Parts: sequence; structure tokens; C-alpha cells
Amino acid sequence: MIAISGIGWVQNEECGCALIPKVFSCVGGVADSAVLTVNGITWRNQKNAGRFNAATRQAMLATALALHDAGIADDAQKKDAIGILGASPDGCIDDNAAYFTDYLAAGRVMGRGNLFIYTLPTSPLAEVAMHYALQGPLAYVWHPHERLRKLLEEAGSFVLDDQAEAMVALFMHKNATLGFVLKRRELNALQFSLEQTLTFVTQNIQNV
Amino acid sequence: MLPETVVITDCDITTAYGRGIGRCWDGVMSGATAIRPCGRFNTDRFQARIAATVDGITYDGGDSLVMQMLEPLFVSLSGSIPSDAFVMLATTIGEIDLLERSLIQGSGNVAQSMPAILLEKIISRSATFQSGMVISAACASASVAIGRAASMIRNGERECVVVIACDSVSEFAFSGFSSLMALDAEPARPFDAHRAGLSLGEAAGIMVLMSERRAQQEHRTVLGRVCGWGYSCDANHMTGPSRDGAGLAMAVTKALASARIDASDIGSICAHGTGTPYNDAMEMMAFKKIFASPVPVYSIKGATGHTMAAAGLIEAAVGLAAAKQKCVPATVGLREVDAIASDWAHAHPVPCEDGYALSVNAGFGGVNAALVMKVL
Repeated sequence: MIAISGIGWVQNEECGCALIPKVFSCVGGVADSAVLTVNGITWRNQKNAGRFNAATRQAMLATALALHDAGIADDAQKKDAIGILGASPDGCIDDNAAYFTDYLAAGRVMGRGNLFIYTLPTSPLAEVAMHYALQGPLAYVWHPHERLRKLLEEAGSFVLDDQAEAMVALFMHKNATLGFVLKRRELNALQFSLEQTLTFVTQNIQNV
Repeated sequence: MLPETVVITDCDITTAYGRGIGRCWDGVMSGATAIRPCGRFNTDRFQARIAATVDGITYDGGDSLVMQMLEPLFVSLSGSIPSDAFVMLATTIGEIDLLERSLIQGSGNVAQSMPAILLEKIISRSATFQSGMVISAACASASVAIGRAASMIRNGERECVVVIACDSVSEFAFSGFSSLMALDAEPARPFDAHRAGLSLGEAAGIMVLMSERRAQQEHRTVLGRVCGWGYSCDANHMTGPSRDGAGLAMAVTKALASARIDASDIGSICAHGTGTPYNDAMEMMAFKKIFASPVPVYSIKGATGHTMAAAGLIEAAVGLAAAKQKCVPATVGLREVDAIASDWAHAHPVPCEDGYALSVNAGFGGVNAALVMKVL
């Protein structure tokens, strides 16, 4: 059986963890590194962070918080047994439009590679995977109904299928970004069930 | 509950060779590439001017490019797709031509190109009543989808899943790959010592997977079994694979474990084999980490072009055909084998052992997927 070992959330100008409740302020998906560091959460400004779009920045932060909440150390070890699955209502439609609009504006002569690489719904997930060395499965999934539940069940399936020891599940909504760490249920471990997780989201995250 | 055996009962594809697995197999075995001058849009300023496009599929075809490819497949498989099948759509950019048209014409309705919309169309067209899902893993999308479908059936979550994979040669994709300097001006030459990049292609495929138990109950012909699957991520670079092949090797290792077989049981390998210097070198390093001696390796991307999300399904179908024939096709486009692939890849058809067929794919973001299949 699958359980949720860590939850990180980013909404409006706040972010935090759920299993061990913590709340921090953040602006545009970027939290104060010093504040997070004092609290044991590693959120390193990537050298290339300037090219991240907003969705990717929020995904990075939500993952940092979720991994911390799950007690998984950052950068201390290879995480080849952890994968990442993501879902978002709009996929990468905005990035697709941005790429092609720019291409048209340039006279249909040449596209920009740095825009093109974001025209896949997996791109933000790949950035997160690179940063946190998540070397397990990686995919974007979308279900037309019960989207968060289905995302968590799908991520859990990869663990039960022995494709990963743990999965990060990222739910990227226009109103919030949520990160979850899923593992097999462990005795005496601080974990939420799927239903507890959905209840937490319903009660604490607005309009998702 | 005992794990279910997963079988493929129906499959049809459209590639630049035309409709049908047989036509694709004959084309690949002929050694003639389906990559040719691309007249769908102006390619004068791009790195290449060639692609493997499907005849008769046009921007003015009355529907999106991918739906034009899929419609004949729905017709041919009419009656074969169970109404309770769960639909899994594997695509990277789906009906991207609708976005192109919207922006060129200034209508602003880009949302119609979203894969979620395509999923609704496909579910309706397939006459199934389950809710379905989109799964996207860059150019490994179809392989991941087939693996997930098989997993759902093996663990009893689903009795039947239909995987539908598609991507088209659009100005969007072509300009993008050109901007990344990934295209070869000549048709792709996988594993060639002088390979210089990939050639884009388009394809669509529909594959019906179900439990063997149900297939027997319904007296369906079984094309093959999906025995194992594995996934990983290089976590290294957005467009370039990890140089040492460790990520892909991990995916293959997981697939072998999933199939409960050893590497020595593999009789043939359908490689991702894009024809780019880095990808092909990475794959060979991955294979050499796993296999103690050369196994017949081939790529069809010099023949069908790189069909992006659809590649995994097309290549799974060809892989089963190769296993059935006990013969792997030549790698079309290959003239002088790179030293790293010597004794593995060949410029002519090669007999293969009556074993399991391995099919691997990789994609942007470092995704890797491996499938193990067997014909009966």
C-alpha cells in the first residue's frame, strides 16, 4: 500500500510543508534561501534559474519542501531510486504559444532553442529531476477527472511496480503547486494516507 | 491474486511507408528510406529540408495532422477495440498544427491544441466509455504508455488498455529541432561513423493490450506478449543524454527484472538510434554495460524518421515482426558502422535468436524506457 511521506505546497505568497507543518513566505515561487536553510531545507538558486519559467520555479520549491517533509536529504546522496510524475491542467500550452509566437515574429526563419525545450509538458519535471538528481521514472500524466487523486495513484503505481522506491508527484495548478513524496507504507513512520492527503489539500489549499 | 499475462491482440500503424505493420516492415527490409524532401512548409532556412511524412496528410486535410493519420486506423480496428478498454494517449505535442493555425490566423484559440482535447476526441472515436489518460514522456512516450498499460493489466487494475500514440511533422516541431541543430541535412544514419543528426518523421499507432485470460475467452489472435518494462531518467541535461549510458542501462535492467529474464535471453534490440552522435554512442555504452556479447541491434529511424512520441509503439510493432521472422532488419541509412557499434549494428539484415525482443527509447529531459516482448 502506498502512503504520502512528504507534502510541499506553494500558493500565493506562502509556501510550506504539511506532515511537519511549516509555513514560509515566498514571492513568485522563490523563497528566501536563508530562511529555508535555517530550517534545514536546501533551496539553492540554480545558476540557470533565470531561464526557468514560473511553473518550473514553483515546481522546484514544492519539491524541495516535499523532500524535506519526507526527511530525504538534498544533495547528500544519489537519488536513483526516486522518480517524478507531474500533472497540470494546461500542460505546456503557454510555452507552446510563446515559442511559436516568437518564431512567427522572427519571420518564420528560426526558432529559439531555449524556448523550444520548454514545449514539452515534461520539461519542468526534467529541470526538477536534474536539480535533485531524481533518476527514477519521469512522465507527465493527465486524467480528465479526479486529477489529483489519479496523479497520486499513478505515482504510487510506479512504486508498487518496483520502478522506484519513492516517487515525487507534482500537481502544477494555476492557483498552487503541490509536491508529494510517495513511498510504500511503513510501520511507525509519519505518513498520510491518500485520503488524508486529499483532505489536507481540500482544507488548506484554495481553488485547486 | 496471480499476476496476469499481458498480450497484444490488435495493432495497426501509419508511417511514411503507408498504413499497416506489413508495409512498414517491407519498407524497412527493402533498405529504402521513407525520408524525402518535405513540401508541407517552407524549409529553406532550416538545417534540413527532408522528413518522413505520410502521403495525403496535409494542413488542409479537414482535420488535425494526427487525426488524419489516426482515422484510418480507427476504421481498420473498428470492432476490435473493446468498449471497456481504457484509452491511453501518448503524444508530445498532439494537435500542434491547430495552435500553429490559430497563431498564424490570429484567432487566439490555442487551447484547442491541448492533448486533453485530443484525448476526448480519441475516446469518442474509439467508442470506449472509460475516462482515459494522457501520458507524455518526450520521445519515450509510447514506450512508457505501453509499459504502464501492461502494468495495469498485470496487476489486475485493468483487463484491457488501448494505447494510441501519435505525433506529426509540423512547422513547430521542425523549426524547433532545427534550432537545436539536431537535424541531419541527409537522411539519418543511425550508428554510422559519419552520422550527423536525426530526421523527423510522423506516425500514428493503435495497440490493444489485454490479459491473456480475456484474449482466450474472446478467441482473439495474440500478436505477442509484453513481458517487462523499465524506466529511468538521466537527470543530466535537457536535451543531451548522459554520456555513460548509465540511465538507459538502468531502464533496461529494470525491464529485464520485470520480465524475470536474464540479459542472455534477449535475441534482438530495437534501439532508439536517432542518428545523433551523442544518442547512438550513449545507447551502445548502455548495451555494453548489460550484455556480455553482441546482440543484433537495429534502428528504424533512418527509415521512418524519428516519429517522436509514436516511436515506441511503431518500434514495438516492428520488434515483434523481427522476432517472428527471427531476423532483424538492416539499419537503414547505415553505411560504415561506427567502431562503438561494430558487431552490434549492421547495414544488412541479420538472423537473430529465438528469444525475447528488447525495444528502448529515450527523450528530452533524459527520459529512458525499455520494453521486453515475446512472440509466441
